[in-house]
Amino acid sequence: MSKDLSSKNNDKDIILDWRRNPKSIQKYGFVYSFIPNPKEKIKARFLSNKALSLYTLFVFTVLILFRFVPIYAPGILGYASDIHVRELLEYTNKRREDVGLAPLRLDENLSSAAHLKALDMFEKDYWAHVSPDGVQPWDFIINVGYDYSYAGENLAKNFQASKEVVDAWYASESHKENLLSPHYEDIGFAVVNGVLNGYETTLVVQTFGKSRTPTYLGSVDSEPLPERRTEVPAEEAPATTPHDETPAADSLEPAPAAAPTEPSQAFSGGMILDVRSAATLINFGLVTFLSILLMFDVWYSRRKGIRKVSGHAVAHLLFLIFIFVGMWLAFSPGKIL
Amino acid sequence: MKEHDSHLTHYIFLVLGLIVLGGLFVLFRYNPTLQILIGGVGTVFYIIWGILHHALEDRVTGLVVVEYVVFGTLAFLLMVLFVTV
Repeated sequence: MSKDLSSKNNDKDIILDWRRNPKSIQKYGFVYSFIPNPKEKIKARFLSNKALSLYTLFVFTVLILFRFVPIYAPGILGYASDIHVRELLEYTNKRREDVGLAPLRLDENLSSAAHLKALDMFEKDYWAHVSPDGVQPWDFIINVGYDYSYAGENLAKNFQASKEVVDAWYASESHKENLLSPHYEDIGFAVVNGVLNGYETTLVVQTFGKSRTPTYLGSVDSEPLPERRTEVPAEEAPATTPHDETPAADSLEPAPAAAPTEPSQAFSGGMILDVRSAATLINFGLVTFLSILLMFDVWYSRRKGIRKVSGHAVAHLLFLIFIFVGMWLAFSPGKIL
Repeated sequence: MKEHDSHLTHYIFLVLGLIVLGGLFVLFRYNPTLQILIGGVGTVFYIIWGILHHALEDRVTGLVVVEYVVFGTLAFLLMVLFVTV
């Protein structure tokens, strides 16, 4: 009995002390930034409408910056990459060998054509198979002296690694047709860094070809030359190039394998921020932070029997999972054309 | 019990809707424009679901509506940020 009395007196003392010194317990108020407040029956402060509005404003600002910084300060934002011609060739040929096709030879003329195409895209600031002034992919191939019977082109940008590039092409039906076409014998690559649409980026140009020179000139008397066939994967594929000029073929020998060009640099120029890494960090950081807070909200509210007049944390959590899983499954590490 | 059943029905409707939209999102993984459109439809669906759910439970307030709108907008912007970079 006397012990109970002493305990009650003790509690009263503590409460009196809190009343006299409210600051002594205010410092513990920060926990309600993370868990619901049972007294006020509200969500954690970091889940309040005000906090959610601030996150929204932050993400909106980042989106605006990503849109306008490249216009007013080209090359500041960009995409880091580590792409190598040797790996691109290896992964491409691996895909072909998997379906029983012969590997393609790296041809230095086709690589030169690919390089010229990449430079042209940077110079004229476009991302397409056909340049704004109507230059076709085949024009680059013909200009370097590669006399083709079949030719094709795949493009990629903003990728981080060589395997991602080939995987993305393989996942697209039209690009896969080029990768696995039995018509091609040679291949050329260009991996070039530059500023495109204001973003520091790495362009990958893959040029396919089958030279008419070694195969058909020997039997030119008995067999007519086949018409040129050209393939680009996009819907904007140009019509078959008319066979109106044939560069002189000066050798019956197959084209020698060209040495791979230098790999791209991970960063180049004055790039300050890798937009892909920044966007990933913001997305996954914010989604994880909010998910943890919402899980805390569900757990603590049930434990303490807090009934709040607000949106359902479980519903918010489900919607976040939908966004998170959707982004994860649909994540495309770059763009192909 | 009846309230619990209707609560469950609402959630099943929400999950099914999100699964369908998630499937479409993945299906058009190489078409960012369509992905943004699907994300927008998903956001509107979520906001309407939230408001209707609370209205049917007679617990809808201005703050609840604002919460669903802000949360939906935040998720949509995160998705746009991810898809467009």
